[in-house]
Amino acid sequence: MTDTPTAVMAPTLSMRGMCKRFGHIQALDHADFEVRAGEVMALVGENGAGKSTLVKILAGLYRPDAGEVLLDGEPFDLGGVLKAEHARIAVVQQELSLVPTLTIAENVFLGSSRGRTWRSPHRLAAEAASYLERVGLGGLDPLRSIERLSVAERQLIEVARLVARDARILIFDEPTAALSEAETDGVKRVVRKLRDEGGSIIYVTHRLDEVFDLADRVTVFRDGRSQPPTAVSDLDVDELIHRMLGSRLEAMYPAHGTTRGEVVLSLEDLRGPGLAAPVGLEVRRGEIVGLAGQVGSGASALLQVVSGTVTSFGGRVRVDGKAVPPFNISAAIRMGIGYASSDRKKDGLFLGRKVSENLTAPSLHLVSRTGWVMRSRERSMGERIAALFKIDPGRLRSIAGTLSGGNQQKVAVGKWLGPEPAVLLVDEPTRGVDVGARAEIYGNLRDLAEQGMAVVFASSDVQEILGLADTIVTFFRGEMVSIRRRQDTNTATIMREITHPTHGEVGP
Amino acid sequence: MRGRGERLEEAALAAARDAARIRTSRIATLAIVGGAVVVLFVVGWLTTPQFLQWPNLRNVVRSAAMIGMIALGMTFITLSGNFFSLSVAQTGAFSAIAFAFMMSWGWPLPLALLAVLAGALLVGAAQGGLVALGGNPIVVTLGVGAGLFGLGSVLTDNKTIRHGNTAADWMGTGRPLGIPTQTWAFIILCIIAAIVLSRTRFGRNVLFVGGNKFAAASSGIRPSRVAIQVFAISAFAASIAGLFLSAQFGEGRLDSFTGDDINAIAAILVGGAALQGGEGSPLRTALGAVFIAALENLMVLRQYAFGVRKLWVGVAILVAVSLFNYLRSRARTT
Repeated sequence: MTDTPTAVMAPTLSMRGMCKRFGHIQALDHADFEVRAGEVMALVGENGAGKSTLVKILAGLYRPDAGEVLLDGEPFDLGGVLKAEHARIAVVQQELSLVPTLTIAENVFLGSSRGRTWRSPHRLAAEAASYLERVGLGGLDPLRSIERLSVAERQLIEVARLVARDARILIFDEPTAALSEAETDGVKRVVRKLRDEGGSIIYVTHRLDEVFDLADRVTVFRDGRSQPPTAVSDLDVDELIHRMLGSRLEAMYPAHGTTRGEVVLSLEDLRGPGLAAPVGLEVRRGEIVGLAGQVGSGASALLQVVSGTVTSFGGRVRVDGKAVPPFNISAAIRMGIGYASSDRKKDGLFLGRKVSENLTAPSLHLVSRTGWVMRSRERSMGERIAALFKIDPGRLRSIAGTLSGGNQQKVAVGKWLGPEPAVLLVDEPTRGVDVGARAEIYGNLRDLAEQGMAVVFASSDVQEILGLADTIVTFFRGEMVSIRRRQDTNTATIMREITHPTHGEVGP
Repeated sequence: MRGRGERLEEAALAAARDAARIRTSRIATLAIVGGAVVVLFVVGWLTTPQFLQWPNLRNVVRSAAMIGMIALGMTFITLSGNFFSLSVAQTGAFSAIAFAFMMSWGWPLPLALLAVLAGALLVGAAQGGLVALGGNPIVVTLGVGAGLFGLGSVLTDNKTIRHGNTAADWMGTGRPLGIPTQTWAFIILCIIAAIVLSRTRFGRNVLFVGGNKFAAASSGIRPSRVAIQVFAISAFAASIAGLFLSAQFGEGRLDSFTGDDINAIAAILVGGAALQGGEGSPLRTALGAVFIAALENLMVLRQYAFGVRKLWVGVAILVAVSLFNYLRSRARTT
């Protein structure tokens, strides 16, 4: 190959017209994607835009319905995990795939089919050391067990493992989602190093600051379609957000609230697991409060403590002035707190049972008399909620697991209308929900607030926070950073406060 | 590009298909269990003439009732996601012994019945309590079962306790309308269990906890309270079976229910209840009990050895579990 600029620019990997359909959802709709040697290509888009589907096709886990994959300009069939490995494509797993009981060196060579079958621990350690050096972990003893290592260190060992298997196209799928700022820097350093060594890096992320910090080019996915790759130097944050959301940005969110009633929920010096400092907060009727923060920031943890899902270490939760006993879900429900968690499949829904049964689950005491479930009351409550939340009443008798993600989320949140709580807590209201259902859920939450309910939601999506909340509370590493009215803040301020706030900003 | 309305319509159709398929699989499960019982009876009728004669059939329904009552109670445990109880055989035997003692001391029949049942409820609730505290249900019930067996052995000195009291005779051997009392009790318990599960708040709680423990807890249902309740129910049902046995033979023996815990578990599994909980029905468990009792009886008539009989019960469990798992996984994947 000649050393002309065109040869340098030729993509290592190029995908054309990729399509993938799951049942009635078109996850990828003629999407194009490419990455060159020696570049970091950022892949961004909202939840459900098709990013993870593309990553899974690259990993050989899904087979595309249509589309062509070119590797160094040659057509290549990506069917199967072994094929992907043969193509030297590797995904740095979000859920870490290391074995905690093995040593660092053993993990580096885990699943490696090359080399001799039997290697002494010291030989293995010596071989592992060079790979550890390459990911900036040269200081670690390869014979240590990985059990005591931090999440970031484990992630880098995962990278070392892939490098040891000679991967040249490395896919990082939201590698920094669970990391602190300092740890993030370590990962970024390794990404740059691998790029400079000529690797092709695909970097999937929700954090737009990382795109500008790290990537050479960026590809935006929206509704399963791709937009042409653009050099990061030609973009700014607003333009990137606009490309991600399109014209929906304005139409997505309902008008902001007008009425604010008396204080209904008050938190006094509340402490609990995941909260590094006591939290004090007042929420009024008719108000939507958005808790902004990354994973592990304390925003979700606060909702869990308030709802009684986890224990509190001190402080008090009051609803209408009455103290709610801690760590007691049924008492919290009785006193007017409803809580929809961020993981509806884990603790939000009974996937194997009917939608109508799901909708009345938190209010069985209201639809039954002396222990007998009254079918007519159950039916009318189900129909009432379905009407309010725009759930197709014909689906009330369907099994909840057969609904789409958006409809499942409506059931998981809507079931809390039954007990008519004074305060509704929602963690990540639109996780895994398609765009249409998203707008409906925002509208529903606003309607509830207008009817006098207080809504508190936690989200790591700054646009969602700004679009929906009247009052915005930011969190960073388990501490509350600020409480501001929406009109007194903006994207940049929130972004800064939830990623690297400087001291002296705490306070309303 | 296709219109949004068109997409939605397609989505609704797909969803309706899915729902229909799951409904079909539930009906299919009932049909399979019912069908298996019918096939077994036809095979028995063709191969073994005395199988369908009334005196033998009466034995089948009587023993189906004994296995069935134990299995019906245990179904609540399985539905709540707590697997099985391995103390039911010992609970039944201990109840029979306690009842025999009380009758031999001359206690009035109603008092003896109430005392035994109340004791069983307590023992069951205690096991539920241990499970609620985090104990593994299999280990807890295994331990309690062994304890009950040991206590029974000490109390009876391993002898059969005869009470010779005729007051309880009718309860054990009566045949209103030609059908044994045990079978009546079994049918009535089955109907009660079906109604409790489908119509009461408690039944809904059991199905919710079994379907998704975490979602149940976050809806304000206490899985620990449900655990106590279902283990109490299971012990109560096993105790009823023990009382009938004691009344039938006028005695209490430590080995009276040997093997019936496995038979009850077999009935639940042949009835197609999901091992992980949340899915199953008393009616199907009852059919499962009839199947297991008829299978045992048929093999006894055909003079199969004890080991061979157990082998076939094992085969029935394996076939049922594999088949129902296959049906469920097919119903859940698109």
